[in-house]
Amino acid sequence: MDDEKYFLEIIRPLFTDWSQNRWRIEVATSPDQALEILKARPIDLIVVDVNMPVLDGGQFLTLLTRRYPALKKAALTALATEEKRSTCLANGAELFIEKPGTLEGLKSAFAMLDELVSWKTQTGFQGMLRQVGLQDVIQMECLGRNSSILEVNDQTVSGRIYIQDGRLLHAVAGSLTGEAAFQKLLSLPGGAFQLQPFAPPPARTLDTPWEFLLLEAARVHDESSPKSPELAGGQESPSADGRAARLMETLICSGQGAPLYQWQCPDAAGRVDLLQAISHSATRLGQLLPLGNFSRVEVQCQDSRAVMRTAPDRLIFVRVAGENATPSP
Amino acid sequence: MTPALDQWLSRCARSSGTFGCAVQLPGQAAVIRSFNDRFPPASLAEALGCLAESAGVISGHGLLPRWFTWCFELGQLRAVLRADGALFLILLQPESPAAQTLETLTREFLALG
Repeated sequence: MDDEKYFLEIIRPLFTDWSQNRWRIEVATSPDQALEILKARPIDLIVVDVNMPVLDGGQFLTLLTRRYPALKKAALTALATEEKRSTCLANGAELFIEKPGTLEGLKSAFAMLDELVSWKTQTGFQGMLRQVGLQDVIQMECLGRNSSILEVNDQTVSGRIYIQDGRLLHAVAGSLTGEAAFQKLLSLPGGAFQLQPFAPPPARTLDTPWEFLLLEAARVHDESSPKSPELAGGQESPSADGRAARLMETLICSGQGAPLYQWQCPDAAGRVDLLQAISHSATRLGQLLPLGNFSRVEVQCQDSRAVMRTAPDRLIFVRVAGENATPSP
Repeated sequence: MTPALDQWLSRCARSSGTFGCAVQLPGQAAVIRSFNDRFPPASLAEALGCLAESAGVISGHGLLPRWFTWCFELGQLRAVLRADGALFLILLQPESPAAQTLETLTREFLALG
């Protein structure tokens, strides 16, 4: 972002060329434009001119740090002073660069910025995420009845999950939308996420309760081999979009069995008994066999499938009916 | 145990990642096959008993399972129940080649009855 348009016109083709098209560069001549771009798509790095009218770069960095804490930021100025440098770094910039006046200087600036981007790509915005981490974030947002947009990306795909008042409204990942997009994002072996302020989604593509979607994501993940072309090739999982699941009942309890949420669960007490029996059996199996931590049990019945998850702080029961629920004879 | 079932049980180890398997026919002793030292036959036999009990508990709560899978961090236990009372157990490594054969083995066991 720089109010000197000619400078942007110079560096855009140069940096694109020097990055060998690894960089996709967006330019803005004002903070408003920059914020629009940040809202529209995931951005790895923003380079901010410090000497801007109305809202100077230092203030803008503060705003960016507050709104996009994981975004990498570099400050650029033609008149570098120690005071400006201290201010920019204190306001969240990772790099403070004096605006180059020569081609060699631009190359040097590009090298520093490229290094910053490379470091970020290798380690993630705030460390690489494991899938369970992303699930935890979604669960936290939904249980807290929060409204937010969860931006998820790795090197192959970018996506968004819209959450309003703890309900999943919409998911998009590349060209996928809905449950296929949701499962795609949760199947990523690593990547990064940012929680953004909520804004209405362009469409509503999710109406299945988040509890089931998360359990389904865990199941798909466990059943997908590393050799699975669906995952290795970045294609959507057939289980994610091919399942015509219809929710029959849901129950979520505390670890002690106190119901926290139930939907069409006529015998909650009975389900709690069952979940506690499952927990007991899981402990017993874990003592008999070196299997590590228990995740869940899936029960396939004639016309439905039940998934039960037990953890010290949560007991979950979800039952669905679906055309794929029974294995083909 | 019929020769066909015995032969089928031996085939369960073909895919790498199978730790062990077992079959319990009504009124007969369980047949246990262990393919990994960490999962000895005695432990698999006890696990089979535990899963048979679980099947009863689950059925008692109105869910009549055809099969059920216990998912752990390092292993998956699938129990398949046939209408004639036969129970098949297979223990395998998640995300292994064996895990890809799980649905096929389940269908085959159900068809063997």
